[in-house]
Amino acid sequence: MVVIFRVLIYPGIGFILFLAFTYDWLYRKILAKFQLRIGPQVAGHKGVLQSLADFIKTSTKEEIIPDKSHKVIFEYLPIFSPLPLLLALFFIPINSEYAIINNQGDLYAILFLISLFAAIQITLGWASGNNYAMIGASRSGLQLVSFGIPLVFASITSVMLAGSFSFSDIVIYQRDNNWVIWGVGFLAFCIFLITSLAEMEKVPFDTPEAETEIAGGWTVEYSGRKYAFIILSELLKEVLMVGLTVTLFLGGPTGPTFGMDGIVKKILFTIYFLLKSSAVIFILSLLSASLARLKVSQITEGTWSLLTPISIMSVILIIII
Amino acid sequence: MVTWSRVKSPWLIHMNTGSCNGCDIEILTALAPKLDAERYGVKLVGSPRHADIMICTGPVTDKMKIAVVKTYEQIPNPKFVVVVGSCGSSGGIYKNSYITLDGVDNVIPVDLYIPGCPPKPEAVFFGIAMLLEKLSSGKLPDLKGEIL
Amino acid sequence: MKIFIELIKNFFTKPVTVDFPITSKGLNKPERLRGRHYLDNDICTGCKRCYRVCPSFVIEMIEITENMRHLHKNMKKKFTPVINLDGCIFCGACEDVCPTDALNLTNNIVVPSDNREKLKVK
Repeated sequence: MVVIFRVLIYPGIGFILFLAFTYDWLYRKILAKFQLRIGPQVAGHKGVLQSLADFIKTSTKEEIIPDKSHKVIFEYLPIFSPLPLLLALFFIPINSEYAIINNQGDLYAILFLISLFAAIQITLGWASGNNYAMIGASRSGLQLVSFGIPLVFASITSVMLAGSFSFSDIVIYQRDNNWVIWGVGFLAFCIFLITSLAEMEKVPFDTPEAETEIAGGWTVEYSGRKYAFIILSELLKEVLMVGLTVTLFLGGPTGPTFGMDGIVKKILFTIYFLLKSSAVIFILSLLSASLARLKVSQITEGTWSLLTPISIMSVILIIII
Repeated sequence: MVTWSRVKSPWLIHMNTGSCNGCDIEILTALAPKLDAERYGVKLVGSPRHADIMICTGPVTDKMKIAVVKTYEQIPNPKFVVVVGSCGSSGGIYKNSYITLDGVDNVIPVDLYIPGCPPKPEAVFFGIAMLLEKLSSGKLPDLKGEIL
Repeated sequence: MKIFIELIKNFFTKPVTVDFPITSKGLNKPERLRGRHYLDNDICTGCKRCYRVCPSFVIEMIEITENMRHLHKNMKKKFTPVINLDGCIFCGACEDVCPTDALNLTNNIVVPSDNREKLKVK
């Protein structure tokens, strides 16, 4: 009974979906604040339900299947696209040091699931049989290749400090010692933020789904329920990257507990998690607001000649210290 | 609830059907910080498959006719068409020209006309708000425009 | 680096957005904005000058019939202009040429409509 509650409602699927819709609203609201705007306002109180409205509206629209598409993949793969991300989110500790799934190879599993989602993106783009989608898919693959190595090296930092691949060990290490971000991990934190922006396909790195040049990229042919699932998977990806940043560098959900235990401690930990992730979203939207979309050549050049060497250097730095 | 979600999140696709770019600039001004259409959930999308409202500017030229019809057919139902500018509404100064088709409504059904050459961004914004009002209550609000 | 300072400064200032359809306070509305037409039927003589000068040919002159006479008291007047706003470019030529100042451009914006018949000034 407790297990079912944990998986389905809190901190499982229900809570994760709540986080997905709230984080997207927070991101848009903060971005609007930076640009002297108000942001979503009419859907719910101050527009909290904006992402939910987008999701419901898209899922009730007509579905169009183009002739040139690969029928089976086009029909069924979008429905499964949020699943790897949902599974990956079960590894993130939200309300205690231990997540729903915790074992020795958490980070391996997460990196594998992120790559799996990128593979799904490429397949979806290919299956729609559209030239724009194909260009978007190839750009998405390019980003996977470019940002994979800095992502791994940046997340390796906290693994090396904690001496374990398990997220619970990393969180416990940060609870007992300092957070990874204070000290040698700061460089890795910056690299991880940039790569997570790229993984989320937000503004400076949104070449795979650039609306103005390739009309939506790999999502171009999807409409109705299929597009709603794609939106959901993008929202879940945002939660996953923010949650990973919090877990690896900001000490996870831990914080002062004031000697409490049991349910109160869990609620406190959830609040700490939300606060820390809001801070991460603030920095991410600051980065998005300050930069325009980069060219594909700039992205690859920047990652291979700048980001990758810096990430390797930060790992070497930690080995020396 | 479905109607609620449709009213709260109209996504636009912008189609230039042969206009002089005046109206296009005014549409972008309606999305800019002063009027901030994102308050009403408006978002400019790139693909017609994701859009709900199609914004047309300009009299439809002969060459553009196929593109307009195709784009309109690619938008999933329910879909709405808003015409911005005098040219799109009736042909404007290109009326009875040999190269234009005298307005968008000769090609595809139109739900709302926003006249002006170009209309002020307030008028564009007001038009979208009126369309949303029509969606939620089923009737276009009968306003004399004194508040503008 | 300068942009980060600017953005964070923006974050703590009040947004410039006007809550538009509820209030129009704070919007820039020029004094001499050329907006919707206003036609004073009592002064208009039906001289057809506006009809001739209109560059986009949106002014029609319709003949005044018996059941329209209650609007047009002047018995010498044979024709009255009807302005189709859906093609108008708001250049103001008709206002300039009008000899009796019957036709004026107000500075109210044309209200959008779903029917082109409603976009007429009689």
